Amino acid sequence: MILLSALLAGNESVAETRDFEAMAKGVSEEVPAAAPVRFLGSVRFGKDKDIGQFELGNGLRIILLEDHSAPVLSYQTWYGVGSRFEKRGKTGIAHLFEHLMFKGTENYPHDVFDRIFEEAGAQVNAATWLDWTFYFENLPAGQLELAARLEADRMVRLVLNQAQLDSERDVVKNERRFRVDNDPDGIMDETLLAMVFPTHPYGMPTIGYMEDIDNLTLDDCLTFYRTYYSPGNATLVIVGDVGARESLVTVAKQYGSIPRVEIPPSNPAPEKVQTKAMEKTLKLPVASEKARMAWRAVPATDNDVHALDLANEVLFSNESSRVYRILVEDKGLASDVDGAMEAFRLDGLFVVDLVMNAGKKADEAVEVVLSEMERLAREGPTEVELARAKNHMEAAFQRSLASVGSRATQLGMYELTAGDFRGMFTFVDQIRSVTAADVKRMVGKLLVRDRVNIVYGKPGKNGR
Amino acid sequence: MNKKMPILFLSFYLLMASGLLMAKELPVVDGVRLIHAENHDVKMVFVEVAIEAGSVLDPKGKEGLASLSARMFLRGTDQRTYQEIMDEVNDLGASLDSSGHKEFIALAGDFMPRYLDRYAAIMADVLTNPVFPDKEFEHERSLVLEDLLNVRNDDADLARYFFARFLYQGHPLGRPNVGYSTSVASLKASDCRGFYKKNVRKGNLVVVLAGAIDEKAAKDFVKKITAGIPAGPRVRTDLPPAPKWKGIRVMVVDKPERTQTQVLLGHPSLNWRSPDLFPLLVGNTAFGGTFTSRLMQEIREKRGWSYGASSFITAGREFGTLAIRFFPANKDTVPAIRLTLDLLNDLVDKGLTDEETGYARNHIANQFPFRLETARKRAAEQLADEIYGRPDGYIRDYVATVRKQTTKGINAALARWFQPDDLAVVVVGTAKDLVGDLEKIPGVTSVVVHPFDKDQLANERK
Repeated sequence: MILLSALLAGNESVAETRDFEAMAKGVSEEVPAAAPVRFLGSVRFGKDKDIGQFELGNGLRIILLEDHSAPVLSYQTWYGVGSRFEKRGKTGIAHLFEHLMFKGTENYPHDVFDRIFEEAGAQVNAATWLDWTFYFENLPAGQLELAARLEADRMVRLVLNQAQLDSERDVVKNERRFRVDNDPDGIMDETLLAMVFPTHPYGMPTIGYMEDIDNLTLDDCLTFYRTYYSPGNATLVIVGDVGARESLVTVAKQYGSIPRVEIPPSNPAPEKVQTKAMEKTLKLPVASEKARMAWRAVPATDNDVHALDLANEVLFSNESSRVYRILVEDKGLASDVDGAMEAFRLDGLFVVDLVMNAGKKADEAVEVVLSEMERLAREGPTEVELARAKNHMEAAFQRSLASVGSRATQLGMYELTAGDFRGMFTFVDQIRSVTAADVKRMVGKLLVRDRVNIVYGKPGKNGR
Repeated sequence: MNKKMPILFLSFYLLMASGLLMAKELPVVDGVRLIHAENHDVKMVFVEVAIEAGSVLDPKGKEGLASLSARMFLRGTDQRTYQEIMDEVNDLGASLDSSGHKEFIALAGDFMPRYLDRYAAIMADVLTNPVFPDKEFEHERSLVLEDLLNVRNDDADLARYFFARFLYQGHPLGRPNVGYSTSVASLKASDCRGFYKKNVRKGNLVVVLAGAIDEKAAKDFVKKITAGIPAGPRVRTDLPPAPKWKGIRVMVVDKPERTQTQVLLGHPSLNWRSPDLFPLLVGNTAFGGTFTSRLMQEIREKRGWSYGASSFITAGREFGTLAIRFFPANKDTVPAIRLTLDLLNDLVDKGLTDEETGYARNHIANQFPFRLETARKRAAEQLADEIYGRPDGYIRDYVATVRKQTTKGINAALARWFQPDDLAVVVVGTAKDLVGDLEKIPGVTSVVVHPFDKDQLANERK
């Protein structure tokens, strides 16, 4: 554990802090339009790297990790807007708008924008989720300026017209058919989320309901753009083979003159505490029965999230986990069992997936899950189980840092979801500090029968 | 031009670091080939033991044998039960899994370096002492059969599952690695024991170690895990030639009440040593390999018909596959296929423009550093060299070879290898909505309908 702290959870480096502060001051002087450039903090990564966070005068935040181990870099733009900012009847706009962001700007028309990036060797894509939307370019070294120039441009100079909207709407409808309407897991997910969050916007599908996608207007999209796409609502993450000062100067030059826009707050009322178990059964074109279970859990900012992470490890996540062993190995009821603690900014979900063997009943497996939850709440994990779970989570964390793209994504995700990218570097120590009593307490408090939501998928032809 | 120099230079550095510029032959440790790529940024070690005996070697009627045998390595040794193996692996936070491929099977996983000795002991046991117990075999086989059953849940998986089979018409390359439900059901534990005895010998093994492990530790690891493996030569088997046919053959995998289809179409293609490989890689990139390529622009951007549309060239040891994929709404399915055929004919007749080939060359060459970004990726390139017999210097000269390709040469290769008149097309969808219009497509010689919940095709039945 001491070794781990030295390698991963590094402390703020005094020397590097001084350098970063001087750097921010120098960039303020070099690019007055971006001033004041503020240094917000740093954290050590590995033995000899430091991650610094900065803010331009217009509120744009930048997280920088200089890493010369390969001639590549990742440039990511995280906007603090996702589907939880949508209204009922307008679902899907955050995601549709993510598609529209590739439709070209005043300076770089639609057929030019992607082509420039691709010709430079970039991998370009984007994703939308409940709390955020992010755009990434993984580029060969030497292409930072290109990414900063094009991303800054589309932050304020996007051009949209009705024909582009209509064409992209069709693409998104096809994406919905692919991910939801013709996918049993997608249908079950959408149904389950709406059960867990009947009033909170987390219950609305990020991809949007088909009828809402059909009804979104050009005006809706333009209003969405002007409201949420601005420097004060964005965090850039730059990881890879480029100097920190060069990155900061480039960003300051490209974004410094973009005006700050105030973002309307989003404080949806919390969902009421569930007091009664809910279930639904869907007839789906599946070979065997399936079940997906979910409980409301805790947000990413809650320290108890790690106790639930470990509960998932003990019960579901691998061949040694209790429920996996019972259902797949001992009783031969299921062919696959999986679980996850999905933490969002304002709330969280604990999810369990069950895929039954042919002819086996999902409700029997559901009862095993509930009974094992109760046993864990009563007895807690054993020492061996807890140590195993902690090792598993540490290794998973290490795997998530394999490439510049995955490192940048982790930094952005922590910043947008947990509120501070530095949380990433205390993750392993936080996991190590969880006790068996913590796991027992959180499972007994939240993962109980009265609060469960279950969607069964049973073989049949009729979909929903 | 100057901007490209650092990329090439640094790629050269990575090539040096990974050994991809070095000796043609891999280092051999006690008779076992080793691929080692070191990087200590992330405190994990990836290990893969590739055994060169894949599904193409499965005997007729025993399709799925290699894959199931690979899974059975973990189902118990003379020292550990399955549960003891998995518990020991999981205690370390490590992973260990098996997989079956066309040309090889693999045991692979990763671990934190502080557990190197404990992980090596488990790996050595699993590799050297599997006993293929009957009871565990029955259970593992039942899980494979469940997997085969569950393929039908996912339309994209269904399309992939049937495409290779319909395309290759009984050729070993068309077999699903996991086998057919009937062939898997007939396998016995003794078949797996026979597979092990026949194929697991030092000459047939390649061990990959990548990440936070130095060369000496890597060599020691190989010695430890293979100490009990018998010596023996590497054995390679030639494949029968690719099937040929005239016309466009269509199979509809009939699944009720679909609002969307999954379409895969293509034909056999070239091998890794073909002089047309690089022209075709560049040409295919311009045609359907990127977001701004012709196919994506025409199907998605101009018409909004499909979320994705792409074209793939997968080279093989003897030959490979050209495949095009998209997934439109029902009403757009036949128009999208017709448009794709028009695009293919236009490509063969008129070729690509200089702008398109120049763009594709730059895209591929500039993206090259990502192929070597991590130790694991560098090791994977070396493994592909070794398994598929890629030509000497394939990676070393990759960027320069891409940049050498001319529009004329690319278009000539496209005309030789793209065959829009002779295709296999698989459509997963609701047949009654599709068959009539599919039959009217010019060049279509047959449309067969196959129920989505039936496994074997007509030409695979005994």
